[in-house]
Amino acid sequence: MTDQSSFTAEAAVADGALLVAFANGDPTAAQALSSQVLPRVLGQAFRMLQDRAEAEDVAQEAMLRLWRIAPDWRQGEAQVSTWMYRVVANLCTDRLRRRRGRVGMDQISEPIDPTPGPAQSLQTSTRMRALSDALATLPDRQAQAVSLRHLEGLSNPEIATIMDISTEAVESLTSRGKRSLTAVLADRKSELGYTDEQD
Amino acid sequence: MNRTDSDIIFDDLFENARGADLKPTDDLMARVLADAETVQSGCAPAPIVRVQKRRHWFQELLGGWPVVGPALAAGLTGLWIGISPPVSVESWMMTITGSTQTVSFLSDTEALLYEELSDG
Repeated sequence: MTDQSSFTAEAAVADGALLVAFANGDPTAAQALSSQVLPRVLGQAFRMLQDRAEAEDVAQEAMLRLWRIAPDWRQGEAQVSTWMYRVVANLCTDRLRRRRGRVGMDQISEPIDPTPGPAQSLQTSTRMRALSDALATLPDRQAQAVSLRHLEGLSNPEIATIMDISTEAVESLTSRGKRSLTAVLADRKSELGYTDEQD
Repeated sequence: MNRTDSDIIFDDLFENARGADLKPTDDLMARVLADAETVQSGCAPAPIVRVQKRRHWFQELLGGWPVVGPALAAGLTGLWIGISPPVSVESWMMTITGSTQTVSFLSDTEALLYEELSDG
């Protein structure tokens, strides 16, 4: 589960202060802030995309946008973590949208990074990729809400802040998204190695 | 397949997909920090604003001192050549025109001070 400390007040102040220091030319701020933020960003991207190379591209792009916005950053008005969740979610849904055209949902795409070793590991990575491909079938906002809720473990109020919508809208998006995903994945249960206990 | 099994699959998949944050590779960190350095070098210091002075109409006509300077130099050189032409120039002029001509910007008295023996 993602470290929820990203939403603590202390972490928020620290990240914001480092970003302001970066904007003021502090040569050490980028390293310090990257050490804090980059693992979270990379993790979020990988959980949505299940592709290390794509996740790294998204992470690098998200950090680049953070550097660029630094001069305009206002301490106290927003949290770096909130802003980064939003940027990464948008970048990931951009990638998933492109994937829709490449992977037909009547087939399961091969995992990009198959883990050599036991068959179970390969099955796990296949399932993870299938989950990511299933997210790609959803409208962007549903995919983002479902990912933030079920992959990042964020609360509905936190997701509402990130997506700049109401809590009720988050509940609606996650509910519809989960229903659609469940239907897509249920059609693949045998391919994904899930057996019906009633068989 | 009943709804409960679907929920189980959904929960199982998402539980497996959640994981600890990934450790960035050294290569990725290096790329991120390189981007930061590029952006930071563009952020600070504040750019120097050059105050554009009003240009004389003459400068505007010719396109500014970068143009006026060489033009002025060329003009002065030509003036000097006319006042004190090198022998080669005189020879060339005699070839072209049959004679050399001297344009004097000096008074007659002053011109006597600079009279060239070869003037003609």
